[in-house]
Amino acid sequence: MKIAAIVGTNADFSYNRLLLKYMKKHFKQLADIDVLEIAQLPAFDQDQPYEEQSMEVWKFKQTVKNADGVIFSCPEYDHAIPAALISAIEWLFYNPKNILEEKPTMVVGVSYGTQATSRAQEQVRAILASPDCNAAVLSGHEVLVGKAANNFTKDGNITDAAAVKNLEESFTSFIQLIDALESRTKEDDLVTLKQPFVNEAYINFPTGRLTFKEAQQIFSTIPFEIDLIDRTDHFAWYSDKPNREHVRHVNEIGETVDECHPPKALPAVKAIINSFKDGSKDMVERPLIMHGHRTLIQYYALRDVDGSYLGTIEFTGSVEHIIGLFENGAFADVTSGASKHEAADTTTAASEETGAPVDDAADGAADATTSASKTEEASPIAVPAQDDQHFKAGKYTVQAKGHNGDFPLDVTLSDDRIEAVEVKGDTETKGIGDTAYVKLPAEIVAGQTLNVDVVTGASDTSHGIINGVAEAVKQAGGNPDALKARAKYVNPNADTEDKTIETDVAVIGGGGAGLSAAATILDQGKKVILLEKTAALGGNTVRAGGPMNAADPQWQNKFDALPGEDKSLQAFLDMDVNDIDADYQADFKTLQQQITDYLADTKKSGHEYLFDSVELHRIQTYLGGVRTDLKGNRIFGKYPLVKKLTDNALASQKWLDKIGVDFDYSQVTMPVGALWRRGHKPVKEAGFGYISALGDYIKAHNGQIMLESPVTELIHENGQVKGVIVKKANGQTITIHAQAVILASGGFGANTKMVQKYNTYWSTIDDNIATTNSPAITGDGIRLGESVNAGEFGMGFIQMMPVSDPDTGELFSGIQCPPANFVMVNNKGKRFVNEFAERDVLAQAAFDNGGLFYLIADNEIKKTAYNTSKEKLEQQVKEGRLFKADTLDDLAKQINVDPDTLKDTVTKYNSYVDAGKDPEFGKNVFDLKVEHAPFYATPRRPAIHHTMGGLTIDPDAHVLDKDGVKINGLYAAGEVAGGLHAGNRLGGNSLADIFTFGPIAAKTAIGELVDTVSSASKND
Amino acid sequence: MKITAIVGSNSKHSSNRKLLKFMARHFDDQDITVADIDQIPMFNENYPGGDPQPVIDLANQIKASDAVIISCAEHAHTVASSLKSVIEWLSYNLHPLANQPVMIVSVSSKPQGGSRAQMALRGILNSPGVNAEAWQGNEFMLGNGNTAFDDNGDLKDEGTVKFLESCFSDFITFAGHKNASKEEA
Repeated sequence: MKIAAIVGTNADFSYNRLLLKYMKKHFKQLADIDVLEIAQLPAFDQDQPYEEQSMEVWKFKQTVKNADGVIFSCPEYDHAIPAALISAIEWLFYNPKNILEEKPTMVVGVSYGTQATSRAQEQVRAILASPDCNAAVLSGHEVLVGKAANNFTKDGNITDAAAVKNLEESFTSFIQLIDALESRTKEDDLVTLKQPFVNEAYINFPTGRLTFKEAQQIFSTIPFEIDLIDRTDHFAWYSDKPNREHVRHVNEIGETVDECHPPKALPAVKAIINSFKDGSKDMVERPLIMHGHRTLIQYYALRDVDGSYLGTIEFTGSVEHIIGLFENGAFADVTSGASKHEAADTTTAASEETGAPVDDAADGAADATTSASKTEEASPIAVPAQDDQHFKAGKYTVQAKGHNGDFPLDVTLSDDRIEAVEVKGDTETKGIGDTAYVKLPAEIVAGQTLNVDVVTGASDTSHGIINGVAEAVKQAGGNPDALKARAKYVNPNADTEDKTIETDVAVIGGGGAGLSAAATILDQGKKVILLEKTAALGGNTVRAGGPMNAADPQWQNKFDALPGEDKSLQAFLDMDVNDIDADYQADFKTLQQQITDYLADTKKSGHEYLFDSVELHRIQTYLGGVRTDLKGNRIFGKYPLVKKLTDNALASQKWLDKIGVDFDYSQVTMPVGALWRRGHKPVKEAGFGYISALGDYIKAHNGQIMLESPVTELIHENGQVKGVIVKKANGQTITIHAQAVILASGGFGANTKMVQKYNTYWSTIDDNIATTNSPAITGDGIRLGESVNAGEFGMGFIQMMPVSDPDTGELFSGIQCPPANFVMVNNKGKRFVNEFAERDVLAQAAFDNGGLFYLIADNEIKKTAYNTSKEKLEQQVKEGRLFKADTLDDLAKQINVDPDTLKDTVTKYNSYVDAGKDPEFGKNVFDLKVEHAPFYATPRRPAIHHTMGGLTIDPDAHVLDKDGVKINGLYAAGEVAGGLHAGNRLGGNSLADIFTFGPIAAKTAIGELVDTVSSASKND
Repeated sequence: MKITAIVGSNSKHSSNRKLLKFMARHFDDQDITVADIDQIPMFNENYPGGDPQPVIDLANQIKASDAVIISCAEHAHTVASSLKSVIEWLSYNLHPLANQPVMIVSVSSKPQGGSRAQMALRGILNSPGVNAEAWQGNEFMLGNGNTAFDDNGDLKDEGTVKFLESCFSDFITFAGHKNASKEEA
């Protein structure tokens, strides 16, 4: 039972508010009491047209309307009800209708004196009982709490037992009143009025009959929800579908269109209804993003068989599933299946509607005739078997080996064909392995071959699928090697002719920087083609842990400070401003003042909350980036770039939120090496949250994305970059003429040779070093930049991710928790470093200790791990990639270190947590101790993570040449550029970088589109 | 006699304003100033910066007057929140109504003429925080306010005007006594 409890005053402090809060707590078994404030309501104004009523008033009225009962807690001013409460009640019964009509209501009151608001309560009752309100007021019982200061305890409890007893009796009676009024059903009313009612019957349609129950359940079952506004403009009915997009309430039924919509939405709704009434339209649709997914709303004119207007139905549902089917080629299968039976000409027509990947579809649109003639040549019938294979028909379930462990695979075989391959479960990293899930099974079945290309970036998953199908074929008595030796699968519908395309801006790279640049270009109303060399969007972003740094003190201040954070801040006060590079000194002084103010404030209030500011983010980015390489070259972040980043990161995060990235604001996170808790983390799995939202946004705004389209050269004429040339794996060359080109192709972390060539920071880089990067991150953008004489900055600085999987380089295996909870031990079982240090310190310490080390965790620390699940952890323990034991002794044996040493290490560490201080290595931020079994050890080793250096850019993302002059038409954003993070990048700053500089590159490029064409010199 | 006449509603179309304007014109032997309240914000004891200027202005005007007339609208059997808000302001930091003779009149669009609002208002004015001298004599309640005035804003019914004259004359006598005793004290 839902009860609205209205605080009858707008005062900041009120015992009447305390009384309602007490009731909410005390009666939580009986009812769900929602305490409503009235201070936010404007003063009642009867002259105000309904359309201009504020959202606050509307929300207040909706809440009261949808409550089963209403409590008024009323102070007394001048022997009477406070004006603010009268005003609130006036809003409730005035325009467009009285929502207190027959509403069960109860009046209570508290006062400082002994009278306990008796006169004000009398008035409230009189007002509620007046014909204007006509509420059902609980009579008899009176809740009058006097001498509030004596009767309320500090934590809001009532000490007077008699008052509590009276309150309990009164509230119980109120609940009984609500029950009594509610249990009178419509049927009861009709029976009293001697009207018949229908109990069980059929509705007979010309096409059959339905019981009422069936009709109701059909509407509740279909995946779209329906709302009906009848011919008289009243909200008549809605389908009771679970998890509706539009949340409706039965109390809204029978309301006029005016009442059930927020005033500001009314004009649009009325326009639709009027267009249906006057016959000018029969359907209006609105595709939009609701609750984070794509949703289609369609309004239909409901017309009688003779065409007369019966009402308007609103038909709403998520279309993600349908789009997913389309994108995964579901309709392609249907058409090719159909074509076996249909005449040849329908085949041609059907294949034009093939659910082609986005790139091919776009090409088809560019030249419909060509693509039609090509599809005629293509055989719509499945490729016949090339050798004799006989299988024992049936469905085989095998375990395939993927990047993150095994996953089940269903293979269906007929006598001589592979009929279906289906991947079960989703153990592979979202956005990486799951591309292979779709592409490979489709190609294996269509080509009847195991000779298919692996998906770049998901080769483990791809091989897993191929070998899994081979295993099933073997079990069915077939010859998998023969299947692997069959001709390579070639998509018969693929377009292989060379061609030329025009666009406004070409973006190279389908990671976060490229996608956010493309989305911004579309926002600005320009055309964009995004070129991604692999089969999937995501780049390195999809592998990111998720948190994006942005100082948002208003949000961060809501969290408590962690032990030790004040010491980190104190360290800034202890620093000498003369040790700071000149560019940053002014900001550094501002920061010192902010910290001084903060420390004074926490001391005064006794409440230690999390501090942050744009300046702290800026200074940490700068200090984090100061590095000197082995040759003695010292670099630090370029002030204009660091300023641009830190000034804009929060706006970037808010933009992402706006376009559909769902953030989890309940926690502020700190990725490893971030130095401060300012990470905004998407709700969806890690970096995939960003990529899916941006990808959806670009598709929804008709952006063109071309996958498997590597750019091999820039078109550079007369000092101007004028487009790119794409060479596809099938030999096709696509020339794209664009007025601007944005490089967003990432660094070169997966190109070990290139890393070795430029490295000046580490004494040596092993040939077999792992990387956290996508295998596609091979420095393509650097090479393209070099081809037009672009300058480079900081190329020798390579960042290692110290805590990577020793074999795969993967970040999120094992227990990867916030650094406050890291306990790192070497192969002797001893700690060897301040776990809170920056990444390169951790990596160097790890190299000095032999490379391999372990993260020790207990059951509580396990719960703070990122991006994993119970199933994944269990799988990793089974595979020997994570160690688990009930005692530290056993854990020590498993990782081959001396048990006493490990126990001693843990005991010491725990004592440092208690003390908030680590005398051995100086760790100064702690959270949990290692004490609750089971215990875990996650093996780690540094891997190449981020290539710090890159092309020289200015704060507007122009690429500069070796002389520092802008290269017309060329822009860069993200890891391909250098100078922002300088020698070392803070964790969480890469996402802030790409989502800030991606859009900046786009905006700069668009601002210069005209100039660059008419007069290149304007750029100078 | 200097009289402040408070319009007990923030509505632009209030017939209570019409009534007071009519009285100001009709009783031109007295100095009646009609005061609107639509500029006065909702009372809030935590209002930033203390009493708002329009409240201070109204309080000064009342203080400088010999008597007050309030014409109240009726919503849901009580006074309008906008009028109650004004009285709360005038009984919080400032107390200009204390010992001030007040005449209550009312107009409503329904036949009842605001009888319950008058009763409520009388109780409020007599409460210890306000401590006004609400006149207990004749009750002038004008029903069907929408049709009671002609185009010039004059009351159409001669009997009504006569009754208003007698009420007002009694009030002036009452106010005269009150002011005399104020001066004596």
